[in-house]
Amino acid sequence: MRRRVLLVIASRYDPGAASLASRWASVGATLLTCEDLSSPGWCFSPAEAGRGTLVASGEVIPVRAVQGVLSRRPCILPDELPWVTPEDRQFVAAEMTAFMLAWLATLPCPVVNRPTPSCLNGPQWRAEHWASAAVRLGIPTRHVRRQVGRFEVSQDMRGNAGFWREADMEEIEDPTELIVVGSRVLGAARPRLRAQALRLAHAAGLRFLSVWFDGKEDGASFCGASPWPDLGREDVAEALLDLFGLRAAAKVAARAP
Amino acid sequence: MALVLAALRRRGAACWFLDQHAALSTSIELEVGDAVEGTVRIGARALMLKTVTAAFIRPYDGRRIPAVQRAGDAAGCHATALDDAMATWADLAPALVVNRPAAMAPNGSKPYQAELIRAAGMEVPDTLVTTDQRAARAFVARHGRVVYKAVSGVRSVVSRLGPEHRERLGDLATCPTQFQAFVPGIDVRAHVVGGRVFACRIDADEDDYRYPRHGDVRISRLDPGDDVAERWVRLTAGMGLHVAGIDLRLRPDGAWVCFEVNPSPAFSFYQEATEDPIDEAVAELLVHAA
Repeated sequence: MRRRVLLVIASRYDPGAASLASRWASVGATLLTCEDLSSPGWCFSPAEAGRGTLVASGEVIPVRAVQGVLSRRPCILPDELPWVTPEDRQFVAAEMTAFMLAWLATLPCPVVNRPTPSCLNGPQWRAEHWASAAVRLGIPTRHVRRQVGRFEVSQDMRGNAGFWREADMEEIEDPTELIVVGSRVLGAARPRLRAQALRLAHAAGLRFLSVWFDGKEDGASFCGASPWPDLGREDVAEALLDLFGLRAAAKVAARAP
Repeated sequence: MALVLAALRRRGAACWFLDQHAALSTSIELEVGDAVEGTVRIGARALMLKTVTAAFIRPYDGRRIPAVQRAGDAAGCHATALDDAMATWADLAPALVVNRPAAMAPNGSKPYQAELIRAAGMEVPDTLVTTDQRAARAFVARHGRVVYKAVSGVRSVVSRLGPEHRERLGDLATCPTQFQAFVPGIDVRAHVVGGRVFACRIDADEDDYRYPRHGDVRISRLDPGDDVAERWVRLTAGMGLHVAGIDLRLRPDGAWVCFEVNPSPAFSFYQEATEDPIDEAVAELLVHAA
Protein backbone atom coordinates (compact mmCIF):
# COMPACT_ATOMS: atom_id res chain seq x y z
CA MET A 1 0.00 0.00 0.00
CA ARG A 2 1.23 3.45 -0.87
CA ARG A 3 2.36 5.72 1.94
CA ARG A 4 0.07 8.43 3.22
CA VAL A 5 1.20 12.07 3.09
CA LEU A 6 0.69 15.19 5.14
CA LEU A 7 1.16 18.26 2.95
CA VAL A 8 2.75 21.45 4.21
CA ILE A 9 2.02 24.16 1.65
CA ALA A 10 4.59 26.90 1.92
CA SER A 11 7.37 28.75 0.21
CA ARG A 12 10.65 26.87 0.14
CA TYR A 13 12.07 29.98 1.79
CA ASP A 14 9.80 29.53 4.84
CA PRO A 15 12.17 27.98 7.39
CA GLY A 16 9.44 27.31 9.96
CA ALA A 17 7.37 25.32 7.51
CA ALA A 18 10.37 23.44 6.14
CA SER A 19 11.52 22.57 9.63
CA LEU A 20 8.07 21.30 10.59
CA ALA A 21 7.81 19.19 7.44
CA SER A 22 11.19 17.69 8.22
CA ARG A 23 10.21 17.02 11.83
CA TRP A 24 6.99 15.34 10.72
CA ALA A 25 8.69 13.22 8.08
CA SER A 26 7.83 10.05 10.01
CA VAL A 27 4.12 10.66 9.40
CA GLY A 28 4.63 11.40 5.72
CA ALA A 29 4.93 15.19 5.84
CA THR A 30 6.20 16.78 2.66
CA LEU A 31 6.50 20.33 1.40
CA LEU A 32 4.39 21.52 -1.50
CA THR A 33 5.96 24.64 -3.02
CA CYS A 34 5.16 26.74 -6.06
CA GLU A 35 7.90 24.86 -7.91
CA ASP A 36 5.59 21.85 -7.67
CA LEU A 37 2.86 23.84 -9.38
CA SER A 38 5.12 24.07 -12.41
CA SER A 39 5.51 20.31 -12.67
CA PRO A 40 3.61 17.77 -14.76
CA GLY A 41 1.27 15.57 -12.77
CA TRP A 42 -1.48 17.82 -11.44
CA CYS A 43 -4.99 16.64 -12.34
CA PHE A 44 -8.01 18.28 -10.77
CA SER A 45 -11.60 17.69 -11.76
CA PRO A 46 -13.72 19.75 -9.34
CA ALA A 47 -16.62 17.32 -9.62
CA GLU A 48 -14.32 14.46 -8.56
CA ALA A 49 -11.93 16.25 -6.25
CA GLY A 50 -10.90 13.10 -4.38
CA ARG A 51 -9.70 11.28 -7.49
CA GLY A 52 -7.01 13.54 -8.86
CA THR A 53 -3.26 13.75 -8.49
CA LEU A 54 -0.91 16.40 -7.16
CA VAL A 55 2.80 17.09 -7.09
CA ALA A 56 4.67 17.67 -3.84
CA SER A 57 8.45 17.83 -3.46
CA GLY A 58 8.64 16.77 -7.10
CA GLU A 59 6.65 13.57 -6.61
CA VAL A 60 3.29 12.79 -8.23
CA ILE A 61 0.87 11.69 -5.49
CA PRO A 62 -2.77 10.58 -5.65
CA VAL A 63 -5.08 12.91 -3.77
CA ARG A 64 -6.54 9.94 -1.88
CA ALA A 65 -3.12 9.49 -0.21
CA VAL A 66 -3.33 12.91 1.42
CA GLN A 67 -4.33 12.68 5.07
CA GLY A 68 -4.11 16.37 5.87
CA VAL A 69 -2.88 19.76 4.70
CA LEU A 70 -1.27 22.60 6.60
CA SER A 71 -1.47 25.79 4.54
CA ARG A 72 1.19 28.40 5.23
CA ARG A 73 0.96 30.78 2.32
CA PRO A 74 -1.52 33.54 1.46
CA CYS A 75 -0.98 33.33 -2.31
CA ILE A 76 1.66 32.71 -4.95
CA LEU A 77 3.71 35.79 -5.73
CA PRO A 78 5.15 36.64 -9.16
CA ASP A 79 8.64 36.99 -7.68
CA GLU A 80 8.53 33.35 -6.61
CA LEU A 81 8.48 32.21 -10.24
CA PRO A 82 11.90 33.06 -11.70
CA TRP A 83 11.61 30.24 -14.25
CA VAL A 84 8.59 31.93 -15.84
CA THR A 85 9.12 34.64 -18.47
CA PRO A 86 9.04 37.98 -16.58
CA GLU A 87 6.09 39.39 -18.56
CA ASP A 88 4.03 36.27 -17.73
CA ARG A 89 4.85 35.99 -14.01
CA GLN A 90 1.96 38.06 -12.72
CA PHE A 91 -0.55 36.08 -14.79
CA VAL A 92 0.95 32.71 -13.87
CA ALA A 93 1.02 33.64 -10.17
CA ALA A 94 -2.67 34.62 -10.34
CA GLU A 95 -3.50 31.38 -12.14
CA MET A 96 -1.62 29.26 -9.60
CA THR A 97 -3.27 31.05 -6.68
CA ALA A 98 -6.74 30.63 -8.21
CA PHE A 99 -6.03 26.96 -8.85
CA MET A 100 -4.80 26.34 -5.30
CA LEU A 101 -7.91 27.99 -3.89
CA ALA A 102 -10.23 25.68 -5.83
CA TRP A 103 -8.09 22.63 -5.13
CA LEU A 104 -7.69 23.21 -1.39
CA ALA A 105 -11.35 24.15 -0.96
CA THR A 106 -12.54 20.82 -2.37
CA LEU A 107 -10.00 18.44 -0.80
CA PRO A 108 -11.81 15.70 1.13
CA CYS A 109 -9.19 15.62 3.94
CA PRO A 110 -8.62 18.08 6.84
CA VAL A 111 -7.13 21.37 5.58
CA VAL A 112 -5.73 23.75 8.20
CA ASN A 113 -6.76 26.41 7.50
CA ARG A 114 -9.24 26.07 4.66
CA PRO A 115 -8.63 28.76 2.06
CA THR A 116 -10.97 31.60 1.20
CA PRO A 117 -11.06 33.61 -2.04
CA SER A 118 -8.89 36.27 -0.40
CA CYS A 119 -6.20 34.02 1.08
CA LEU A 120 -4.98 30.43 0.85
CA ASN A 121 -4.92 30.27 4.66
CA GLY A 122 -8.31 31.38 5.93
CA PRO A 123 -9.78 34.81 5.39
CA GLN A 124 -7.48 37.73 4.83
CA TRP A 125 -9.11 39.70 7.59
CA ARG A 126 -7.79 43.10 8.48
CA ALA A 127 -7.68 44.29 12.09
CA GLU A 128 -11.05 45.95 11.48
CA HIS A 129 -12.66 42.66 10.41
CA TRP A 130 -11.41 40.97 13.56
CA ALA A 131 -12.62 43.82 15.75
CA SER A 132 -16.02 43.76 14.07
CA ALA A 133 -16.33 39.99 14.51
CA ALA A 134 -15.33 40.22 18.16
CA VAL A 135 -17.87 42.97 18.82
CA ARG A 136 -20.61 40.88 17.17
CA LEU A 137 -19.69 38.01 19.51
CA GLY A 138 -19.96 40.29 22.52
CA ILE A 139 -16.25 40.14 23.30
CA PRO A 140 -14.73 43.27 24.85
CA THR A 141 -12.69 44.74 22.01
CA ARG A 142 -10.19 47.52 21.55
CA HIS A 143 -11.21 49.82 18.74
CA VAL A 144 -9.15 49.80 15.57
CA ARG A 145 -8.38 53.07 13.88
CA ARG A 146 -6.64 53.62 10.60
CA GLN A 147 -5.78 56.76 8.80
CA VAL A 148 -4.60 57.27 5.24
CA GLY A 149 -3.57 60.86 4.84
CA ARG A 150 -3.64 62.90 1.65
CA PHE A 151 -0.65 62.05 -0.46
CA GLU A 152 0.65 65.58 -0.86
CA VAL A 153 0.36 66.35 2.84
CA SER A 154 1.96 63.17 4.00
CA GLN A 155 4.74 63.54 1.46
CA ASP A 156 5.61 66.86 3.03
CA MET A 157 5.24 65.66 6.58
CA ARG A 158 6.75 62.22 6.44
CA GLY A 159 8.53 61.90 3.15
CA ASN A 160 6.99 58.52 2.50
CA ALA A 161 3.90 56.95 1.00
CA GLY A 162 1.45 58.73 3.22
CA PHE A 163 0.16 55.51 4.74
CA TRP A 164 0.18 55.01 8.39
CA ARG A 165 -1.93 53.02 10.65
CA GLU A 166 -2.74 53.31 14.28
CA ALA A 167 -3.38 49.80 15.43
CA ASP A 168 -4.05 49.30 19.09
CA MET A 169 -1.88 46.18 19.11
CA GLU A 170 1.15 48.42 18.82
CA GLU A 171 0.23 50.18 22.04
CA ILE A 172 0.15 47.01 24.13
CA GLU A 173 3.48 46.10 25.60
CA ASP A 174 2.85 42.50 26.54
CA PRO A 175 -0.34 41.11 25.00
CA THR A 176 -1.56 37.66 26.02
CA GLU A 177 -1.42 35.23 23.13
CA LEU A 178 -3.69 32.22 22.94
CA ILE A 179 -3.33 29.77 20.08
CA VAL A 180 -6.38 27.90 18.90
CA VAL A 181 -5.64 24.48 17.39
CA GLY A 182 -8.87 22.73 16.55
CA SER A 183 -10.85 22.62 19.78
CA ARG A 184 -7.79 23.21 21.97
CA VAL A 185 -6.51 26.54 23.20
CA LEU A 186 -2.81 26.84 24.05
CA GLY A 187 -1.58 29.54 26.41
CA ALA A 188 -2.24 30.79 29.91
CA ALA A 189 -5.43 32.75 30.44
CA ARG A 190 -8.75 32.57 32.23
CA PRO A 191 -11.31 30.08 30.82
CA ARG A 192 -13.49 32.92 29.64
CA LEU A 193 -10.75 34.31 27.38
CA ARG A 194 -10.00 30.84 26.09
CA ALA A 195 -13.66 30.37 25.21
CA GLN A 196 -13.67 33.73 23.46
CA ALA A 197 -10.64 32.75 21.41
CA LEU A 198 -12.40 29.58 20.32
CA ARG A 199 -15.54 31.49 19.37
CA LEU A 200 -13.53 33.93 17.29
CA ALA A 201 -11.76 31.12 15.45
CA HIS A 202 -15.10 29.45 14.84
CA ALA A 203 -16.64 32.69 13.56
CA ALA A 204 -13.75 33.09 11.13
CA GLY A 205 -13.94 29.47 10.01
CA LEU A 206 -10.42 28.81 11.28
CA ARG A 207 -8.95 25.87 13.17
CA PHE A 208 -5.49 27.36 13.69
CA LEU A 209 -5.34 30.91 14.97
CA SER A 210 -3.38 33.19 17.28
CA VAL A 211 -5.60 35.46 19.34
CA TRP A 212 -4.33 38.33 21.49
CA PHE A 213 -5.88 40.00 24.51
CA ASP A 214 -4.59 42.94 26.50
CA GLY A 215 -4.48 40.87 29.69
CA LYS A 216 -4.96 37.39 31.14
CA GLU A 217 -7.95 38.01 33.38
CA ASP A 218 -11.68 38.05 32.71
CA GLY A 219 -12.66 41.30 31.09
CA ALA A 220 -9.44 41.65 29.10
CA SER A 221 -10.08 43.11 25.68
CA PHE A 222 -9.49 41.39 22.39
CA CYS A 223 -6.82 43.24 20.45
CA GLY A 224 -5.88 41.16 17.44
CA ALA A 225 -5.69 37.78 15.71
CA SER A 226 -3.64 36.07 13.04
CA PRO A 227 -3.94 32.75 11.18
CA TRP A 228 -0.13 32.48 11.18
CA PRO A 229 0.81 31.10 14.65
CA ASP A 230 4.45 30.30 15.33
CA LEU A 231 5.21 26.78 14.06
CA GLY A 232 8.39 26.59 16.11
CA ARG A 233 6.61 25.86 19.38
CA GLU A 234 6.62 22.25 20.49
CA ASP A 235 3.11 22.38 21.94
CA VAL A 236 1.77 23.89 18.71
CA ALA A 237 3.34 21.18 16.56
CA GLU A 238 1.96 18.44 18.80
CA ALA A 239 -1.51 19.95 18.86
CA LEU A 240 -1.47 20.17 15.08
CA LEU A 241 -0.57 16.49 14.83
CA ASP A 242 -3.50 15.77 17.15
CA LEU A 243 -5.73 17.81 14.89
CA PHE A 244 -4.69 15.70 11.91
CA GLY A 245 -5.16 12.53 13.98
CA LEU A 246 -1.49 11.66 13.58
CA ARG A 247 -0.01 12.05 17.04
CA ALA A 248 -0.25 8.36 17.86
CA ALA A 249 1.36 7.50 14.52
CA ALA A 250 4.17 9.94 15.25
CA LYS A 251 4.78 8.31 18.64
CA VAL A 252 4.90 4.86 17.11
CA ALA A 253 7.32 6.09 14.46
CA ALA A 254 9.49 7.69 17.13
CA ARG A 255 9.75 4.40 19.03
CA ALA A 256 10.60 2.41 15.91
CA PRO A 257 14.24 1.31 15.71
CA MET B 1 -20.71 53.53 -13.04
CA ALA B 2 -21.61 56.59 -15.13
CA LEU B 3 -25.02 55.12 -16.01
CA VAL B 4 -25.86 54.33 -12.39
CA LEU B 5 -24.65 57.71 -11.20
CA ALA B 6 -26.82 59.44 -13.82
CA ALA B 7 -29.82 57.32 -12.85
CA LEU B 8 -29.32 58.18 -9.19
CA ARG B 9 -29.13 61.90 -10.02
CA ARG B 10 -32.30 61.66 -12.11
CA ARG B 11 -33.98 60.36 -8.97
CA GLY B 12 -32.64 63.24 -6.92
CA ALA B 13 -30.66 60.90 -4.66
CA ALA B 14 -27.96 62.49 -2.52
CA CYS B 15 -24.86 60.98 -4.13
CA TRP B 16 -21.21 61.22 -3.26
CA PHE B 17 -18.89 60.10 -6.05
CA LEU B 18 -15.58 58.81 -4.76
CA ASP B 19 -13.44 59.20 -7.86
CA GLN B 20 -10.30 57.05 -7.76
CA HIS B 21 -8.68 59.50 -10.14
CA ALA B 22 -8.51 61.88 -7.18
CA ALA B 23 -6.53 59.37 -5.14
CA LEU B 24 -3.66 61.74 -4.42
CA SER B 25 -5.91 64.28 -2.74
CA THR B 26 -8.04 61.67 -0.97
CA SER B 27 -7.70 60.81 2.71
CA ILE B 28 -9.54 58.28 4.85
CA GLU B 29 -10.02 57.79 8.55
CA LEU B 30 -11.67 54.55 9.57
CA GLU B 31 -12.63 53.40 13.04
CA VAL B 32 -14.14 50.04 13.85
CA GLY B 33 -15.37 49.05 17.27
CA ASP B 34 -18.96 49.12 18.40
CA ALA B 35 -19.73 50.79 15.06
CA VAL B 36 -18.06 51.25 11.68
CA GLU B 37 -17.28 54.93 11.32
CA GLY B 38 -14.91 57.29 9.63
CA THR B 39 -14.50 60.06 7.12
CA VAL B 40 -13.42 60.23 3.51
CA ARG B 41 -12.09 63.55 2.25
CA ILE B 42 -11.34 64.58 -1.30
CA GLY B 43 -9.85 68.04 -1.23
CA ALA B 44 -12.34 70.19 0.67
CA ARG B 45 -15.23 67.70 0.37
CA ALA B 46 -15.89 65.35 3.28
CA LEU B 47 -18.14 62.32 3.67
CA MET B 48 -19.04 60.88 7.07
CA LEU B 49 -19.16 57.16 6.41
CA LYS B 50 -21.85 56.51 9.02
CA THR B 51 -24.27 58.55 6.88
CA VAL B 52 -23.92 56.20 3.91
CA THR B 53 -27.04 54.08 3.34
CA ALA B 54 -25.92 52.39 0.12
CA ALA B 55 -22.80 52.13 -1.99
CA PHE B 56 -22.21 51.03 -5.57
CA ILE B 57 -18.56 50.15 -5.97
CA ARG B 58 -16.52 49.38 -9.04
CA PRO B 59 -12.98 49.56 -7.70
CA TYR B 60 -9.95 49.41 -9.92
CA ASP B 61 -6.35 48.90 -8.89
CA GLY B 62 -5.52 52.42 -7.70
CA ARG B 63 -1.89 51.99 -8.74
CA ARG B 64 -3.01 52.07 -12.38
CA ILE B 65 -4.58 55.52 -12.16
CA PRO B 66 -2.52 57.72 -14.53
CA ALA B 67 -1.96 60.46 -11.94
CA VAL B 68 -0.77 57.87 -9.45
CA GLN B 69 1.58 56.30 -11.95
CA ARG B 70 3.04 59.68 -12.84
CA ALA B 71 3.64 60.44 -9.14
CA GLY B 72 5.82 57.36 -8.63
CA ASP B 73 6.08 54.39 -6.30
CA ALA B 74 5.16 56.22 -3.11
CA ALA B 75 1.92 57.35 -4.73
CA GLY B 76 1.25 53.73 -5.68
CA CYS B 77 1.59 52.72 -2.03
CA HIS B 78 -0.78 55.55 -1.09
CA ALA B 79 -3.35 54.36 -3.65
CA THR B 80 -3.05 50.78 -2.38
CA ALA B 81 -3.64 51.99 1.18
CA LEU B 82 -6.76 53.85 0.04
CA ASP B 83 -8.01 50.81 -1.85
CA ASP B 84 -7.47 48.60 1.16
CA ALA B 85 -9.18 50.99 3.57
CA MET B 86 -12.22 51.39 1.31
CA ALA B 87 -12.45 47.64 0.68
CA THR B 88 -12.36 47.05 4.43
CA TRP B 89 -15.11 49.61 4.96
CA ALA B 90 -17.16 48.08 2.12
CA ASP B 91 -16.94 44.65 3.75
CA LEU B 92 -18.02 45.88 7.17
CA ALA B 93 -20.33 48.85 6.59
CA PRO B 94 -23.95 48.44 7.72
CA ALA B 95 -24.98 50.07 4.42
CA LEU B 96 -26.20 48.13 1.38
CA VAL B 97 -23.01 47.60 -0.61
CA VAL B 98 -23.26 46.52 -4.23
CA ASN B 99 -21.28 44.32 -3.98
CA ARG B 100 -19.19 43.63 -0.91
CA PRO B 101 -15.57 42.73 -1.77
CA ALA B 102 -15.78 39.46 0.16
CA ALA B 103 -18.80 38.42 -1.92
CA MET B 104 -17.07 39.41 -5.17
CA ALA B 105 -13.84 37.56 -4.38
CA PRO B 106 -14.91 34.03 -5.49
CA ASN B 107 -14.97 35.33 -9.06
CA GLY B 108 -11.17 35.40 -8.85
CA SER B 109 -11.09 31.60 -9.21
CA LYS B 110 -13.35 30.17 -11.90
CA PRO B 111 -13.30 26.56 -10.69
CA TYR B 112 -13.87 27.69 -7.10
CA GLN B 113 -16.86 29.77 -8.12
CA ALA B 114 -18.12 26.96 -10.35
CA GLU B 115 -18.33 24.70 -7.31
CA LEU B 116 -20.44 27.33 -5.53
CA ILE B 117 -22.69 27.45 -8.60
CA ARG B 118 -22.94 23.67 -8.69
CA ALA B 119 -23.69 23.58 -4.96
CA ALA B 120 -26.56 25.98 -5.66
CA GLY B 121 -28.07 23.34 -7.94
CA MET B 122 -27.03 24.62 -11.35
CA GLU B 123 -25.21 22.67 -14.00
CA VAL B 124 -21.64 23.71 -14.81
CA PRO B 125 -19.37 22.40 -17.58
CA ASP B 126 -17.22 19.36 -16.95
CA THR B 127 -13.81 20.81 -16.05
CA LEU B 128 -10.21 19.66 -15.80
CA VAL B 129 -7.35 21.75 -14.45
CA THR B 130 -4.03 20.11 -15.14
CA THR B 131 -0.31 20.40 -15.75
CA ASP B 132 -0.30 17.00 -17.41
CA GLN B 133 -0.57 16.70 -21.17
CA ARG B 134 -1.72 13.07 -20.99
CA ALA B 135 -4.63 14.05 -18.78
CA ALA B 136 -5.47 16.90 -21.16
CA ARG B 137 -5.43 14.54 -24.16
CA ALA B 138 -7.66 12.06 -22.31
CA PHE B 139 -10.11 14.89 -21.50
CA VAL B 140 -10.19 15.92 -25.15
CA ALA B 141 -10.72 12.31 -26.21
CA ARG B 142 -13.65 12.02 -23.77
CA HIS B 143 -15.40 15.23 -24.76
CA GLY B 144 -14.38 15.82 -28.37
CA ARG B 145 -14.82 19.57 -28.38
CA VAL B 146 -13.00 21.37 -25.56
CA VAL B 147 -12.30 25.00 -24.68
CA TYR B 148 -9.51 26.41 -22.52
CA LYS B 149 -9.72 29.51 -20.37
CA ALA B 150 -8.01 31.25 -17.49
CA VAL B 151 -8.39 29.78 -14.01
CA SER B 152 -8.16 33.18 -12.32
CA GLY B 153 -10.18 36.35 -12.68
CA VAL B 154 -7.65 37.72 -15.17
CA ARG B 155 -9.71 38.36 -18.26
CA SER B 156 -8.83 35.99 -21.07
CA VAL B 157 -10.33 34.90 -24.35
CA VAL B 158 -12.17 31.60 -24.16
CA SER B 159 -10.78 29.53 -27.04
CA ARG B 160 -11.62 26.22 -28.63
CA LEU B 161 -8.76 23.72 -28.38
CA GLY B 162 -7.69 22.94 -31.93
CA PRO B 163 -5.07 20.71 -33.55
CA GLU B 164 -2.61 23.61 -33.52
CA HIS B 165 -2.85 23.76 -29.71
CA ARG B 166 -2.41 20.04 -29.20
CA GLU B 167 1.21 20.27 -30.30
CA ARG B 168 1.82 22.69 -27.44
CA LEU B 169 0.25 20.65 -24.67
CA GLY B 170 3.73 19.89 -23.32
CA ASP B 171 3.84 23.52 -22.17
CA LEU B 172 1.07 22.79 -19.67
CA ALA B 173 3.69 21.74 -17.13
CA THR B 174 4.50 25.39 -16.42
CA CYS B 175 1.12 26.31 -15.03
CA PRO B 176 -2.16 24.56 -14.19
CA THR B 177 -4.47 25.16 -17.15
CA GLN B 178 -8.24 24.90 -17.25
CA PHE B 179 -10.09 22.90 -19.89
CA GLN B 180 -13.84 22.64 -20.18
CA ALA B 181 -16.14 20.48 -22.24
CA PHE B 182 -17.61 22.62 -25.01
CA VAL B 183 -21.28 23.31 -24.36
CA PRO B 184 -23.37 23.76 -27.51
CA GLY B 185 -26.31 26.15 -27.51
CA ILE B 186 -27.32 29.77 -27.19
CA ASP B 187 -25.29 32.25 -25.17
CA VAL B 188 -27.37 34.01 -22.55
CA ARG B 189 -26.45 36.82 -20.23
CA ALA B 190 -28.73 37.42 -17.27
CA HIS B 191 -28.39 40.53 -15.16
CA VAL B 192 -29.87 40.10 -11.72
CA VAL B 193 -30.61 43.27 -9.77
CA GLY B 194 -32.11 42.50 -6.39
CA GLY B 195 -35.15 40.43 -7.31
CA ARG B 196 -35.31 41.56 -10.94
CA VAL B 197 -33.86 39.74 -13.94
CA PHE B 198 -32.90 41.20 -17.30
CA ALA B 199 -31.89 38.44 -19.69
CA CYS B 200 -30.69 38.56 -23.25
CA ARG B 201 -29.48 36.08 -25.84
CA ILE B 202 -26.31 36.65 -27.78
CA ASP B 203 -25.89 35.31 -31.28
CA ALA B 204 -22.35 35.28 -32.60
CA ASP B 205 -20.12 33.00 -34.59
CA GLU B 206 -17.48 32.97 -31.87
CA ASP B 207 -16.52 30.81 -28.93
CA ASP B 208 -16.18 34.04 -26.93
CA TYR B 209 -18.59 36.68 -28.20
CA ARG B 210 -16.83 39.35 -26.13
CA TYR B 211 -13.97 39.24 -28.64
CA PRO B 212 -15.58 39.08 -32.09
CA ARG B 213 -13.03 38.54 -34.82
CA HIS B 214 -15.52 38.38 -37.66
CA GLY B 215 -19.22 38.81 -38.16
CA ASP B 216 -21.79 40.53 -36.00
CA VAL B 217 -22.75 40.04 -32.40
CA ARG B 218 -26.52 40.26 -32.11
CA ILE B 219 -28.10 40.80 -28.71
CA SER B 220 -31.80 40.50 -28.09
CA ARG B 221 -34.06 40.37 -25.06
CA LEU B 222 -34.95 36.91 -23.74
CA ASP B 223 -37.69 35.78 -21.40
CA PRO B 224 -36.37 32.78 -19.46
CA GLY B 225 -39.65 32.17 -17.63
CA ASP B 226 -40.41 32.81 -14.00
CA ASP B 227 -39.01 29.57 -12.62
CA VAL B 228 -35.64 29.97 -14.29
CA ALA B 229 -35.44 33.65 -13.39
CA GLU B 230 -36.19 32.77 -9.78
CA ARG B 231 -33.31 30.26 -9.76
CA TRP B 232 -30.95 32.97 -10.97
CA VAL B 233 -32.16 35.36 -8.29
CA ARG B 234 -31.60 32.68 -5.64
CA LEU B 235 -28.15 31.89 -7.03
CA THR B 236 -27.16 35.54 -6.89
CA ALA B 237 -28.51 36.09 -3.40
CA GLY B 238 -26.94 32.85 -2.21
CA MET B 239 -23.54 34.16 -3.26
CA GLY B 240 -24.09 37.28 -1.18
CA LEU B 241 -24.51 39.47 -4.27
CA HIS B 242 -27.14 42.14 -4.91
CA VAL B 243 -26.24 42.64 -8.58
CA ALA B 244 -24.68 40.10 -10.92
CA GLY B 245 -24.18 39.26 -14.56
CA ILE B 246 -24.65 35.52 -15.06
CA ASP B 247 -23.13 33.88 -18.12
CA LEU B 248 -25.07 30.85 -19.30
CA ARG B 249 -25.71 28.68 -22.29
CA LEU B 250 -29.08 27.20 -23.16
CA ARG B 251 -28.38 23.77 -24.60
CA PRO B 252 -30.43 22.36 -27.48
CA ASP B 253 -32.01 19.91 -25.01
CA GLY B 254 -33.35 22.85 -22.99
CA ALA B 255 -30.90 22.52 -20.09
CA TRP B 256 -29.18 25.60 -18.67
CA VAL B 257 -25.43 25.49 -18.09
CA CYS B 258 -23.86 28.23 -16.01
CA PHE B 259 -20.31 29.40 -16.71
CA GLU B 260 -19.79 32.26 -14.36
CA VAL B 261 -21.43 34.81 -12.06
CA ASN B 262 -19.84 38.21 -12.64
CA PRO B 263 -20.15 40.32 -9.49
CA SER B 264 -19.22 43.57 -11.21
CA PRO B 265 -20.95 43.27 -14.57
CA ALA B 266 -20.34 45.78 -17.33
CA PHE B 267 -24.04 45.85 -18.25
CA SER B 268 -23.99 48.93 -20.49
CA PHE B 269 -22.99 46.78 -23.51
CA TYR B 270 -26.16 44.69 -23.14
CA GLN B 271 -28.42 47.54 -22.02
CA GLU B 272 -27.55 49.49 -25.12
CA ALA B 273 -28.81 46.63 -27.29
CA THR B 274 -31.90 45.61 -25.34
CA GLU B 275 -32.86 48.96 -23.86
CA ASP B 276 -33.54 47.17 -20.59
CA PRO B 277 -33.36 49.72 -17.75
CA ILE B 278 -30.66 47.94 -15.78
CA ASP B 279 -29.11 51.20 -14.60
CA GLU B 280 -32.50 52.35 -13.31
CA ALA B 281 -32.99 49.07 -11.50
CA VAL B 282 -29.61 49.40 -9.78
CA ALA B 283 -30.39 52.98 -8.83
CA GLU B 284 -33.74 51.93 -7.44
CA LEU B 285 -32.10 49.19 -5.39
CA LEU B 286 -29.62 51.68 -3.93
CA VAL B 287 -32.23 54.35 -3.20
CA HIS B 288 -34.59 51.80 -1.69
CA ALA B 289 -31.90 50.89 0.87
CA ALA B 290 -32.23 54.36 2.35
